[in-house]
Amino acid sequence: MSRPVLEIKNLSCSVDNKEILHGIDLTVRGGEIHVIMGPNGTGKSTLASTLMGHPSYQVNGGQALLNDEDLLAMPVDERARKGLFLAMQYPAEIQGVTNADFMRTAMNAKLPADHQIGVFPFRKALNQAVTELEMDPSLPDRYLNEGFSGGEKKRNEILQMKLLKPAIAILDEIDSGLDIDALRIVGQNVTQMAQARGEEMGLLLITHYQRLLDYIVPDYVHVIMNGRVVRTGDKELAEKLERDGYEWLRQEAGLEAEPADAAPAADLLSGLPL
Amino acid sequence: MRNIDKIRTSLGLDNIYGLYFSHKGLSSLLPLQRPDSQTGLAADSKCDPLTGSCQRDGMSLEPIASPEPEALALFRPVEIEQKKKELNRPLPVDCETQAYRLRISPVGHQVNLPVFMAGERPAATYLDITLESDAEAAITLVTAKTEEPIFLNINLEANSRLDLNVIKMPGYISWQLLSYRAAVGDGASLRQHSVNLDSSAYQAGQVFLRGEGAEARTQTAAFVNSFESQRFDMTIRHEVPHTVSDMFNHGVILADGFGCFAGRGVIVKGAFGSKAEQDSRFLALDPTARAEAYPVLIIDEYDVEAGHAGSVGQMDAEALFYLQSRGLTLEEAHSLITAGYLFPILHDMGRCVPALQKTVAYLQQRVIEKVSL
Ligand SMILES: Nc1ncnc2c1ncn2[C@@H]1O[C@H](COP(=O)(O)OP(=O)(O)OP(=O)(O)O)[C@@H](O)[C@H]1O
Ligand SMILES: [Mg+2]
Repeated sequence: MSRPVLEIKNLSCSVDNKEILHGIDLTVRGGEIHVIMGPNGTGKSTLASTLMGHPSYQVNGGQALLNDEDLLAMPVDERARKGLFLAMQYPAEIQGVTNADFMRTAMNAKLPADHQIGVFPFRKALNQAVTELEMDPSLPDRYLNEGFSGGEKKRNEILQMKLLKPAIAILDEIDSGLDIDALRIVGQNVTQMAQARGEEMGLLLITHYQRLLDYIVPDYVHVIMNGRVVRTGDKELAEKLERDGYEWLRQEAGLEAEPADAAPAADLLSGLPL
Repeated sequence: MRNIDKIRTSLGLDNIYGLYFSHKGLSSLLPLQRPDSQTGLAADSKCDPLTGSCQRDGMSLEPIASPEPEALALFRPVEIEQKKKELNRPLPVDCETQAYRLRISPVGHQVNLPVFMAGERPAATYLDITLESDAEAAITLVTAKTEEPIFLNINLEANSRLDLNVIKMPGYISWQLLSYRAAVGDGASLRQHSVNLDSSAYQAGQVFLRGEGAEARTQTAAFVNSFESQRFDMTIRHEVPHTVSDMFNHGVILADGFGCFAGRGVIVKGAFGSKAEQDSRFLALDPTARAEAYPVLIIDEYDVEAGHAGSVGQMDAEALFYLQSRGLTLEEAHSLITAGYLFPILHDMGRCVPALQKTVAYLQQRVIEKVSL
């Protein structure tokens, strides 16, 4: 497998006709670990969802290329089959579909018809990943995410990443909801996978807390504020943010406070017969 | 191969003793062993197909007089006049019946009895079923192309447990009317699973929780084809303290199909410490699909727990996105979610009656075929 590259060029997009991202530039190559931080509601998940092709997000301009191919022109499933993976902040629950059945379908979706994975090799890979993630052995046979605790859902996202072996993986707040041990286990599994796959996989982590970076050491740390990348640094930038918060950056970048709070109030008013 | 043999084999029920009602009425008592192709059906010395009586494995069957019209009238579902109009066909509830009494006594294990109804039966079929104290049985009613009504009068004595499974055999399209009444005694439990993937149907159930600790759980999986209609009408009355009921119904409806779950949980005064739950949902796969879910609770007692949910909805866009983001095509994601809508009922049936694993696998396969259009 060649070294993958995801290039995001001046990407802007909106949801509900409101522009959230105003021109994002970012390049992630195989073997690199990028981290995105930023205050609540600044567009981090919006970026992740737009790259994956969530139907609620409209692209207004710019490009996203995966290995020189126009990602934004592909349907969601094709993006996945080309190697993009998104561990979601809020994974959906699907009743009636067991985790294991779903995982096997997903693995086979990436394989040619004459090379589908059999039940036994699949179970073996699945059990190994479950063990490595120290998950409850009953989770694969339960319905997909249904009734999973917050932490179990997150681990289940990593389980899928391990089995699907993506070229570019975006992990949206994979650390939220994890207890201390689970954070270590998830962190170590991600790092171990990154090391094992080397240049075959690039990582884009979205997080609020420096503590995840104790286990996954980033090459780049980007800060998104008001829909733009306002600063790029390394692990030290994350440490400084943890200590000092975002205010200093906001001032340096000459930004107003997040408009997120103001917007709903305006919306409320807009419904009134003035 | 006769159709009945095909059905038994498909469902993995061919090694199990069962009853077979055909165009001749109760025409055979199917033997325990699979018939070998040379000699045909092996004779079963304990059962006499001519008199329709049988004694075996804690089970006895005998013909009885057809119930009086007043008795049969109790099987009229509520609001029947209105439904007649909606269903646009007569509901023959006080018609002629062929009646049998089935008693099951405790034998230390779950008696597993398939009952097949196929072909144009000469009359409605009435089964009076009693589970004696501590008896455990799974009665799996399989209907194929047959339209005459089916009435079940069920009496569960103390601490008995009945798994009643109602399976409309996939691939045999015919209208079906089933109405059952069940009285559940002290500590006894009724678990009912209905699976209908093809045909128009009207099923009514009236359950009376009459003994302390009595329990009723009913589940339905309905796949409603285009221009078909399926209605399920379920009333559970909590008549004494500490009784538990749970209705769980899921339906999938294609274009121009109609589905209805009407659930009534009634807790009478004095039935304190009781619990009544209902959850009825439809997934409409087309804007022309019509569905109604009425989860009604009528409660005349304070110290109870009750909950009800009912919904008619479309495919969840977030769920579709999630599956697509893992590489499944839109069609695959759609199929998986639709099948998953009905699977919990099938899985639960398999958990309640482990001997039905093959039956469940067969039904699951049929669901998968239906949803991968
Ligand atoms: N589907 C949606 N419908 C309406 N508004 C949305 C939707 N998705 C995002 N938004 C809005 O876009 C803005 C950015 O949201 P986003 O989820 O990208 O933030 P975030 O940076 O991931 O925040 P957090 O750190 O809280 O996860 C918010 O104001 C949010 O309310
Ligand atoms: Mg977010």
